[in-house]
Formats: sequence, structure tokens, C-alpha cells
Amino acid sequence: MTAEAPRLSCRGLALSVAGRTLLSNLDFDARSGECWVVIGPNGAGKTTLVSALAGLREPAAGEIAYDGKKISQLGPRERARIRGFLPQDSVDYFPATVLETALVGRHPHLARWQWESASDIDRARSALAAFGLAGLDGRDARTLSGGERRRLALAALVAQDPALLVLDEPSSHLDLGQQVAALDTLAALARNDGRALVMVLHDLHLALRYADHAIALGGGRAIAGAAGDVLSAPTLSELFGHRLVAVGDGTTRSFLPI
Amino acid sequence: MLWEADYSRDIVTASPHFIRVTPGRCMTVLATLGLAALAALAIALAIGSVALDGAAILRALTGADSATETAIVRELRLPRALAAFAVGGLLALAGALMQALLRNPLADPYILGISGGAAVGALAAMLAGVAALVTPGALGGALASTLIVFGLARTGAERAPWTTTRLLLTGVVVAAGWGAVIALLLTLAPDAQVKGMLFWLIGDLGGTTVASPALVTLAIALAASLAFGRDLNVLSRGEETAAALGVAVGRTTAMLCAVAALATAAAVTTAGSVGFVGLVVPHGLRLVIGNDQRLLLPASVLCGGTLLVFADTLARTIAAPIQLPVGVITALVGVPVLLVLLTRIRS
Repeated sequence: MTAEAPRLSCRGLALSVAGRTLLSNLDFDARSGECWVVIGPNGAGKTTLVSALAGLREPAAGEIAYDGKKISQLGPRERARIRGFLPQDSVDYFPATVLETALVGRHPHLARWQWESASDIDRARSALAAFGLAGLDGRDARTLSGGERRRLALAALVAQDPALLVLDEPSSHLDLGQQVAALDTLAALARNDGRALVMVLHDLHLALRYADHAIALGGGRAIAGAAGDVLSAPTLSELFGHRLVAVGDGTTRSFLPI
Repeated sequence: MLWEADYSRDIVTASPHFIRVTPGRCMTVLATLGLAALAALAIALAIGSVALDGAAILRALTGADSATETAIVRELRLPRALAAFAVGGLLALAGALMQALLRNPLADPYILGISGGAAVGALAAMLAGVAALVTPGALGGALASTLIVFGLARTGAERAPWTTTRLLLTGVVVAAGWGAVIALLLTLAPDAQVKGMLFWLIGDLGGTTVASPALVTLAIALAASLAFGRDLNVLSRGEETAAALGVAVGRTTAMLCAVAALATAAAVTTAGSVGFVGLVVPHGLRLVIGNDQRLLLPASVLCGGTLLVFADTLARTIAAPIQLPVGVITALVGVPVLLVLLTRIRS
């Protein structure tokens, strides 16, 4: 247990949508270096949960803190300097180049009349390179493929340089190789860089591969804990309403539906 | 890394033809547009029933010329040209703000009925005979329209951005509503006032003698919007993205809506409802200079101003001695442009 405050601390969180309780009394701490994965069936409220954790949605009850500071006491700009958020989908309404799009991540770090500096541009370029988009600076982002646009959104998030990354399905629109490469890049940000990750993953195999902690969400409740405890055959069988058995070990560990 | 092969393909240099907007690029573009604006103003001062050359204009401006020419330039043409510039700039600014806030390139104060609301407020004050209420009335009408349009925009599922269809239909309906009220006011108006009111409704600068209120409003509205230039860049990518990047979405949107309404109201009280400047100018500029609001907003002001100075010069000379309302010229240009845009926009 480290002495420093957790990157994300969640106490007694309750969420409801249109009168339906999605979860109640959720407690967990995501610490520096940890990778939390949220799993659950469709409609369980994974997106609602991560958007509440990102401070973009008021919870029905409970408190969230970033680096020991309650988010109710942080302004939107202060939050954005600590926490980055990747929505499930993003739409480009207007033309913008790839570099401009990545530079949007620098917004919370710039003063009102300040322009992006050379170091902001370096940061955006290296984020683009980390997601395989080097050399595309001047392209209109709307001409990119679905996978490239997803990686561009990830690059903008990394350019924001948050200590806490909250991601809603970062692997969507990516093919298998790209999923692994993108998640490797993100996991390295947590493990080598002292950041914390909280992400929704749809794919159980990817969840097993990257999670050191997990939140299982479904049936109006949520269980949070170490990946080994939460991502177990009995819990997952109950969660997805279908019997699963664990097979393999280590990196080949997986669950098969019976 | 796994991506090496992925970006080795040819880089397609699709528009925009630049990587990002820098302060230096802003200066170049704005200086060019500023020169164009000065040229438009010079032409507006030179052309008319009495043609003046450059030297004569300079003499008139400095008051060194005969009384007639000084009066023509300083009391007639200059205020009218400056008012045209201010009105064009105000409308283009309002259009650019609305396009970014509604995330739809077809937003425009005229199409969305904001100008209509301002016109009703101003007409009602005129009919009541209270000149002091014309500007507040226009502002009240513009704000009411803005509230209707943006209020409806927020009720959509998941605060989804407006589809073009819904946006235009709402604009048509709101404008039709104001149109009915305007028809009612015109019916109630004494006959002697009706022609003037009609001219003013189409958009007319013929009676303009003072440009300073519109110019001052333009300066204030532009400065206020520019202070939020980067916030607007982020907002134009969606409210969720903006909120995640630290923009106080509700407060910023409300403030910029009010600025757009104020700009529309100032334009309408100066020249009536001039249409399509707010649509055509930001949209056309965006294709050339990109969507960075820190450049797009001031460029729209300069370009919209220039366009309206040209349009007004044309309006008062093309059928001389008959003076056309400038709104006729902008509609003749704007309607075909809007139709072309509609066929191009992906739904």
C-alpha cells in the first residue's frame, strides 16, 4: 500500500438511470500503476459508470476523489488536468487536421489567450506516433478510417497527459493487432508512468490480459476487486447469465462458454 | 510496434491544406482580409451618383474639400459603408458562433429565426413609438428566439447534436411564427410607415446615418467570443468531449449564445433582417482556413463586413436612382449557395 492518495477513489457510489438502480455502494481505489477493467453485459451501465467516474455525470449518491481531492470541489478545468476521458464514440462535425485534433488534448493546460507551444506540439506528435499515426499531421481527420480515428482519439487523450485515464471501450473499431498494440501502449502508461487506468472492455480475453483489478457490473450491482477474484468463472457465469469455465493459465487463461 | 506498415501509404493531402493555425498564419490571413475590407470601403466611398477618385475621397475625409463632397463622403457614404461593414461582421460572427455551438454548418441567425425575433421586438417598439425601446426590443426578441432554438436542441435524446433536417425545420417554424407576428404588426401599422418597415424587414441600409453603435457592439462581441476561441474549438467537437477537457459547457454555451443574440440584435436594429451572410461567410471560410475559431471568428467578421459593403454598394448603384434593399442582394447570393450546400451535406 503506497502512502500517496489513490489516483481515483470512489466511496459509496450509487448510480441510477430513469429510476433504475445500476449499482449502489461501490467502493474502490485505483492507485498509481493500476489497470482497472469494467466488464458486464450490454445495458448494465458500464458507460454510465465510467462517465460518473470521469466526473461527467452526477451520481445518485457517493463521492469520488482524484489524488485525494473530492471532485465536487474541483472545477472542470482542474479535473481535466488530472483526469482524461475517452468517450465510446466521437463524431467530427467540422474539418480538422490530425495534429489539430490531437492538440485539443492540451486545452486544459493552456491559459485563455495562450497558443499551443512547441512543447505542446511535441507532446501531441509523440502521442500520435505512439498510436501509429506519425506523418499524418496534415490529413483531414474525417478522411481517416474508423480504426485510425479511434487511435487519433486515444492520441488526443494521451496528449492531455492525465494521471488518471478513464476510457469507454478504447478497443472499439480496432482490429485484433491494433487492439493489442493500443492496449499495450495504454498499459505501459499505467505500469511505467505511474498513471491509473479505468477502462470498459467488451472482450473478456483482453480484460484478462490487461486487468490487474476489475469491476463486474450487472443486475443492479457491482463488485470491485483484484482481477483474480472478480474475473472468476462463477462471477462471470452469473454476470453474463451463461455458464463459463476457466481454461489455460497465465497469458493463455481464458473462459469458455459451455 | 504493430503499426509500421499502416502509415507508409501515400498521404492524401485533403483540404484543409495546412497542419494547424498559428498566430503568424492568423496575422497573414487577417491582414489580407483587412486590406480587402479597406478596398471595399474605398470603393463604397468612391461610387455613387457623384463619382469620386481616391484623392477626392482623401480630401473629403480630411475635410479639405468643398462642402458638397465632404458632406457626401462624411455624412452619407462613410456612415453607410461602415454600418454595412458592422452589420456584415455582426451577422457573420453570429453565424459562426451558432454553427460551432450547434455543431451544424447550416446554422445562421436568419434561417433559425433569430433575426425574425429581433425584427418583431424592434418593430413593436417602433409601432409603440418608443425609439428608446427599439434596441432592447430587438435584443429581447433575439434572445427569445435563441432560447427557443437552443432549448429545443437540448431536449433531444442524449443531447445528440441536431440533424440538419431538424435544425432547418425548427428554423422554418420559428421564422414562420415571427413572420405571422410581423404580418400582424404591419397590418396594424399606419399606411405611411408600411413601406419603410418593409424595406427595413428585407434588410436596408438606406436610412443609416450612424454606424458607431453597431461598430462598438461588433468590437465587444468579437472580443468576448475570441476570449473563448479555444473553448469553442473544443465545444465544436461535442459537449461530452468539451466537458471532459475542462470546458464549463453550460455556462460557456449560454454566454456565447447571448453574444450571438446580441450581435444579431445589433445587426437587425441597424439594417433590418439581412439574410444569409451568417450562413455563407463562416461556411465558405471554413473550407479554406479550417475550423480553428481563433482565426475563423475574426476572419468571418472581416469577410462578412467586406461582403456586405460590396453588396450594399451594388444595391445602391445597380438600379440607380432606385436603391435596392441590401437584403435582396444577399438573398440572391445566399439562396443558391444554401441550396448547393444542402445537396452536399451528408445527413
